[in-house]
Amino acid sequence: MKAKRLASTVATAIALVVPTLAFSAPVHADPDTDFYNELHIYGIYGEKDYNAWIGKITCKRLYNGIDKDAYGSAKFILAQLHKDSTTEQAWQFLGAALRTYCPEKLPVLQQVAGQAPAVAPPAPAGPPLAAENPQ
Amino acid sequence: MLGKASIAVTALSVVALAIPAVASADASDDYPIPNRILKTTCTVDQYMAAVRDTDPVYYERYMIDYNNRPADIQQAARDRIYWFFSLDYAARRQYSEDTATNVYYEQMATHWANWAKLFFNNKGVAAHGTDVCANYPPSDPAVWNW
Repeated sequence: MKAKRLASTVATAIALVVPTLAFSAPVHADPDTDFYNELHIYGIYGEKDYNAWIGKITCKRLYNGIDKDAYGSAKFILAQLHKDSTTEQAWQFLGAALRTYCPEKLPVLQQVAGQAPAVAPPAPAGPPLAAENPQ
Repeated sequence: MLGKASIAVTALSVVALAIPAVASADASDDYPIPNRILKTTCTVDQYMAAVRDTDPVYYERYMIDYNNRPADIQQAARDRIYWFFSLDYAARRQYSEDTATNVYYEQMATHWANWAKLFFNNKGVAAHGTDVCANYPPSDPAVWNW
C-alpha cells in the first residue's frame, strides 16, 4: 500500500515536472525567430532566412573589417532591404542584428552615438553680428 | 474515316515530338554564361567584391561551398576563373559554346560541380555585380578569404 502511494506520488511529481520541461523549451527559441519577431516591430518584413543571413553577414563584415563602422553597416543593410525601406529601419535592423548575433560588437553603435552622420558645415568666421553681442 | 483521323493525329504528334529534338544545346549570348560576364571588363576580384555587397547571401553561400573544398580544388577553381576572365569576349563566347555542347568540356566541374556558380549561374547576380564592379580595386585577394 505504502509502495503504491509512493509510486503514485512519484507519478504525480513526474506529471507536474514533465510539462514544465516541455514548455520551457520554446522560451529559448532559435535566435533567427527572435530576430524575425523583433524586425516586425520596426515594420521590416521579408523572408525569415534571408533576414537572418543579412544579420549574420552584417556581423561578419564588422569582424572582417569590410564595414569600418556602424555607418558602413547601416549602408550595407539598407541596400539589402526592400527599396522603400528607410534609413531609420536600417539602423533598427543593425541594432537588432548586433544584439542577436554579435553583442560584443554593440560598441560600434555607441562609437557613433556622439557623432553627426555628415560633416557639419564650419562655423561662420568673422566678427559677431550685433544681435550676437551680449548686452 | 476514323483511320484517316487517327493518321492525322499520329502525324501531328510525331511533329510535336520532332520539334523539341530539333532544339540543340547550342549556347546563346546569355546562356549558359550570362551576357554581362561575357562582356565585363572587371577583374575577378572586382566582380567578387561587388557581389559581396550587392548579393551578400549568394556570395556567402558560394564561399561556404568554396571553403568546404580541399585546398587543391580551391586553387584550381581560382586559377580557372582567372584564366576565363583573361579571355576576350569572343573567346569567352566560344567557351560558353563549348561548355553548353559538351558536359565534359570543363574538367573543373568534375571536381566541383558549382565551381563557377558565383559567376555563371545567375543573370541577376551577374547584372548587379557588373553594374558596380568597376568601383572596386582591380586586385584584392581578400575576396577569397571569407
